[in-house]
Amino acid sequence: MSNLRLINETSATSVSSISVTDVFSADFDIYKVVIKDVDSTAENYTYMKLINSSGSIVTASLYDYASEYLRSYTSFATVIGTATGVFPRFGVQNTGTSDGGTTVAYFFNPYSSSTYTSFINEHSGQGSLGLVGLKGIGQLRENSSITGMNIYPASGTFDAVTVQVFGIRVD
Amino acid sequence: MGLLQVETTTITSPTASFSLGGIDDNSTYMLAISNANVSSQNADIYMRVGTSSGADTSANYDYASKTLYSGGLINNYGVNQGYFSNVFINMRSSAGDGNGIIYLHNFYDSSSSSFITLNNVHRYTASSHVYGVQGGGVHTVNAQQTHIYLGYGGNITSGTYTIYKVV
Repeated sequence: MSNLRLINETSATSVSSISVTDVFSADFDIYKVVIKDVDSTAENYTYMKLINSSGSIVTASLYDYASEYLRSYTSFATVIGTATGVFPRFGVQNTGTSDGGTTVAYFFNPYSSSTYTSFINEHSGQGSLGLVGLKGIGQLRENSSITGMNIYPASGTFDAVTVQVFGIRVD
Repeated sequence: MGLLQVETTTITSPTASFSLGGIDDNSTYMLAISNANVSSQNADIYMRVGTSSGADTSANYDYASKTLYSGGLINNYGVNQGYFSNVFINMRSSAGDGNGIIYLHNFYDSSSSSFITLNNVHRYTASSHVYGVQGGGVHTVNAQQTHIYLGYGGNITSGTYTIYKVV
């Protein structure tokens, strides 16, 4: 049996955001998250906030991140932030299913209330001008138990989106 | 993609270096690291390749990476080094929260060099900056490797380290 276990797959259409809840638990320390089949009404970044064990979206200014924004048609850009209220470079969404675009992230120790929640993320997709990609890292600067995430476009809405969450099991 | 666990270890007391093995075919393998910490401020965690007989300590390690952190971006690179010195860099001595995914390529192939690709995240030295290395490396010796060795930059005090075969 594979040590990569599918925990949850959530799809939505015509939504302004998608929340994936109760996916992080004491069963795993490391999770793989895939955001795929994204179609949206606007080309823009995908934002992400974490959801705590009380079921509340963490909106405090506790998010640190660093991302390299990779584009085939112009120079790269480094985007960084400390003590912000959101991870603003979790992915990129485009305006057509044929443009695809997939974000893959690994989350570390989200459920532990004695460590920060950290992640690494990368994205590849096709925008109107060419390839857009991201490589990044992020961290929630508080020791709290995190059980899910909320994902939304920086502008527009999701016509369609699917989020898969896998646990990486240590036996 | 599936993952089959090959070997795991959890560090609970200061350790200068340790190994993980179980690489026994030409598959790609994945090393997952969770909650690594070091005993001294600004310490690093390096990597070597080897066998059950020990690590290769020769100067045959090349690497290049980008360090992302919430204060900027740094290039890291080196040739003919004694280890991959870009696994974890400038870690915080407590609550370092070292985490990473490192893929191991062509380790078992005796006619090829061994390659790694790595993505990690941790907390930077005394500050609260999030800090992470994205890059790769090559051990420029055509030889069969079955183990990885971690350490050499200061004592490692914690963490769970697991090798999976990618199937």
